[in-house]
Amino acid sequence: MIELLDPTREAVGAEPIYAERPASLKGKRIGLIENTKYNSDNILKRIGEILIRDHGAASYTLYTKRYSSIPASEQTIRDIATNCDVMVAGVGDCGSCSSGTVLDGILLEMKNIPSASIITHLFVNTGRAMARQWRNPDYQYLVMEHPIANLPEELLQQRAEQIAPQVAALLVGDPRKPMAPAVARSGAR
Amino acid sequence: MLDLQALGAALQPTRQGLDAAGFDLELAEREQTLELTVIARASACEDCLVPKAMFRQMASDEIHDAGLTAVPLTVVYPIDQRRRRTASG
Repeated sequence: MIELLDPTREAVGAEPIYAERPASLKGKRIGLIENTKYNSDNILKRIGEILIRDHGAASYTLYTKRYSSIPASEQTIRDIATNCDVMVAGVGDCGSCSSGTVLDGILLEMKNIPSASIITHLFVNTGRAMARQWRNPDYQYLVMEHPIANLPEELLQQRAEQIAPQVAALLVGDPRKPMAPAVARSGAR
Repeated sequence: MLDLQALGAALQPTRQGLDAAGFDLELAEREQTLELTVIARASACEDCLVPKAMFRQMASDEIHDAGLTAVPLTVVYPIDQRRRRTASG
């Protein structure tokens, strides 16, 4: 039997809402959803460490997707909704994995978990298309420079340091307000 | 008659994403429809392609954002090309 997985859907129903944001990340438990793309786990763990170091987050837990092109499993979504306070997903550095990473964020927001999805700059339109399909065309996600798969350790750390402040801002700030562009800029229009 | 040059320019973001995953993009007009053919190079990651419905939406958005008139789109993926070759023997 062949299992066909299509993360898109017909655009019907009400627009999803963002989860209520905490006042800060102090003491918060971070769920990291890595999409199995090379270096995604390395960069997400670094972001988790920075959020602990600079923002007082309590801990992070790394969840690994079964397959990069589809959203996280229902079990993973449930685990994060139960055991984490905020979520960071990434890094989408291809078409299907970018759309899957954006969808991870949307699904967790729908479970009332503030989320930050990270994709690379070549796939901004892919993320936007997925957000539109889920009736949330202005859904905020974060963008870092492509590629990440071939980055040495020092550049991975540099990318993590660059984007971590934006991750924190998206997790605690009003996601409806446009974020200031930077190297790792906001992707939604 | 479609302005393939302008449409090609509008689809540059999609082309760049495809290129990063090992694909080329060709545009052609077929019976007043814009046919977008995604061609796999040797290094292509076919798992990286988004579902066709999403690809069409991305392309339509880029054409709209460029201020061009909407056109009917068909998308041909590498698997479609292989099927055509198989079917034609």
